[in-house]
Amino acid sequence: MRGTRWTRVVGPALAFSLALQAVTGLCMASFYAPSSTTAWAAVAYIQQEVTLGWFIRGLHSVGASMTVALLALHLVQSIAFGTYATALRKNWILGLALGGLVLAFALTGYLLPWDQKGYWATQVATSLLGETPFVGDYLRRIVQGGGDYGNLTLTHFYALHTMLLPALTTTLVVLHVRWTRPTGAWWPDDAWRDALACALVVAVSYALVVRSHGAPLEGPADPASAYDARPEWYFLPLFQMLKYLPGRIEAIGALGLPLVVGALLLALPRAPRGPAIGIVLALGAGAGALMLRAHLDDRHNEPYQRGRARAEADAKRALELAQKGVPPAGGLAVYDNDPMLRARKLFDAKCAGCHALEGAGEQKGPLLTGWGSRAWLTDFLKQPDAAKYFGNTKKLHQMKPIKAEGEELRALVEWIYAQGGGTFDRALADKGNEIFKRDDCDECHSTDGKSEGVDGAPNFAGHGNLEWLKSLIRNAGIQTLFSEHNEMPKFGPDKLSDDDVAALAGFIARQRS
Amino acid sequence: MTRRRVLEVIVGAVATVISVAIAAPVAAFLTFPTRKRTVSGGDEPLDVARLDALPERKPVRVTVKAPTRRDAWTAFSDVTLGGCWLVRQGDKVIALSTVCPHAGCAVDWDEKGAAFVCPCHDSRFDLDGERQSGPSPRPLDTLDVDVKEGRISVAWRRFRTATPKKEPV
Repeated sequence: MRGTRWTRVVGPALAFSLALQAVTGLCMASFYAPSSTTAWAAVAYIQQEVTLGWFIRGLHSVGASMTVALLALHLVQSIAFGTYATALRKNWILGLALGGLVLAFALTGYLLPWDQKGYWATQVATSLLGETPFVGDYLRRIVQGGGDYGNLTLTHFYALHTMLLPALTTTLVVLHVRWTRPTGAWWPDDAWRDALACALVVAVSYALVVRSHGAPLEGPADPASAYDARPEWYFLPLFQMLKYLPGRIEAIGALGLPLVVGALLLALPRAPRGPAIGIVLALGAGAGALMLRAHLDDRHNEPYQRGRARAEADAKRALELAQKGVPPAGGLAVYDNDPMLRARKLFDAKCAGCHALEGAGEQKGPLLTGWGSRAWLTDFLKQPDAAKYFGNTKKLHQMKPIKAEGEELRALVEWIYAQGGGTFDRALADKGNEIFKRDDCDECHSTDGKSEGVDGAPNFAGHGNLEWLKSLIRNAGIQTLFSEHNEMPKFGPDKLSDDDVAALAGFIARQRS
Repeated sequence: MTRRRVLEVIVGAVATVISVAIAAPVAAFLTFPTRKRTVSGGDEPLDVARLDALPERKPVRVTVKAPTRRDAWTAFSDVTLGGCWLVRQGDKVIALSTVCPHAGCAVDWDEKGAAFVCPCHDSRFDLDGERQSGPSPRPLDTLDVDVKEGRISVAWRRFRTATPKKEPV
């Protein structure tokens, strides 16, 4: 039995799928640069800037899965229909070798985007390779271009993925087809079936890509992060198995088991058909069970799910930032484009010498953790002269603690908070305004945005909003702020650009919420 | 029509559909650089030298650097765009691109012959960039110069080579 004419389309469809990978691969290679500083940025560029880049890359990714799936189907068929036994022995071996090459393609391609997923998942693969007895470390250094991951890892994987593996695969496919026993006239009796099968491959691939909006790209590889990597679905059985193998056995199992499976398949033509089918069924069932187990483990693993959510948020942010261009330092440096992060760095450089924020910085000027928030205002009003507020200044000690308590204090805080904008309770703020006047706060603090206060008491108009903060950073010694009592240095255009001041003001304003 | 003919037509039709379905997105992808600028930034006049640092009627070679430039995915800062020759005549300065209009080699100043010389194919140009001899189809390309408060800025451009007309690329 050799199967029906329709079942014979799988081999040609598999070859077609490989050819399609070559086409989409060539497209991406034209826009890709394999180095640790450019790889992620280039793939982000393909994904976001290049016309239909997301589609071509999605097609390459779906195509990899499609190829592995067709490969498995092809293998199962040849066993089910008995062709594994009747075919030329050397062609059976060739077929298995091709299977290995397809998996090598998948493994090497996974690293190339240099994103979190590829970086961490491939670490596992190269670590295991390094565990090979005697030659492990040597092999690992050759494959990954040295002891550490870096530029040479990418150039090595790229050379394997786009040169060596395609050359080997093309050669073996040509031989594999040549050594296949002819089944009668191919043209046009089988050709039309093959053509339809190829059309189906294209249609299914396109549908999958459109449905998934292309292949995901994670954030740039970050060696300092805690990332919980997963391999592609076809490596999940191996991944899951590693969980069960402790210590030294792991190395033997991770490398030995695929070897045992390979040896079993190689020897299959020598086995009678009954046991042969038994072996393959057992292998398939084992792999399926491990895959299901891996899937279920993750679904019920809350820390993993939280990590996923974080990784997806990081990826989204990194891709947004990459649209402004990736700094020459590489993918990870996109986070420097983040205005908040930039502001934090500016703060560390310009402000932390006098102001404390989130545990860092000096205590010469007021604490900025939660600055201007209701909690900060409440605490400040009770002890304005504490060391963490104005206690360490020389000329701003005149304010006495506020006597109002409870609901009255809450109202006063609400009114001050309201001056800087944001959502507030109007009734409560109005009550606060009355207390402001009743307790004579207005003797020192003006609220009109023009008048100078007494002894450096700032004017409350706009207190805490962006413009107010910007003006304070530029020069806190103007008459509506601390006037001649000011001790904070001026930050004129020679020290901070308008953008820098805006970033810093935005950064501090965020402390209010 | 014979059965064979029908099958042949089916194969042909399916193969055509597959080819178009693949070729269309691939073509759109690969021709992206013909529709979008992949390198940008540095088009504005860029500061290159002080006017009083230039000798009279003696060419000085300067490097034009852009403060920021976007090259495909990378956002560079302080990038060298190219070189130009500055020739001062009183308060007037002309800037000549160092790129030879013939085949794109870098022209040099020949002190003895008092001429710009292209080392590749021996085109020669005078101090104003006018062609004296050689295969160049046009004079040296002038660049827009701006002299303000004693500082010279040059808007660096690359022009199509091997054509009699000066066209930016």
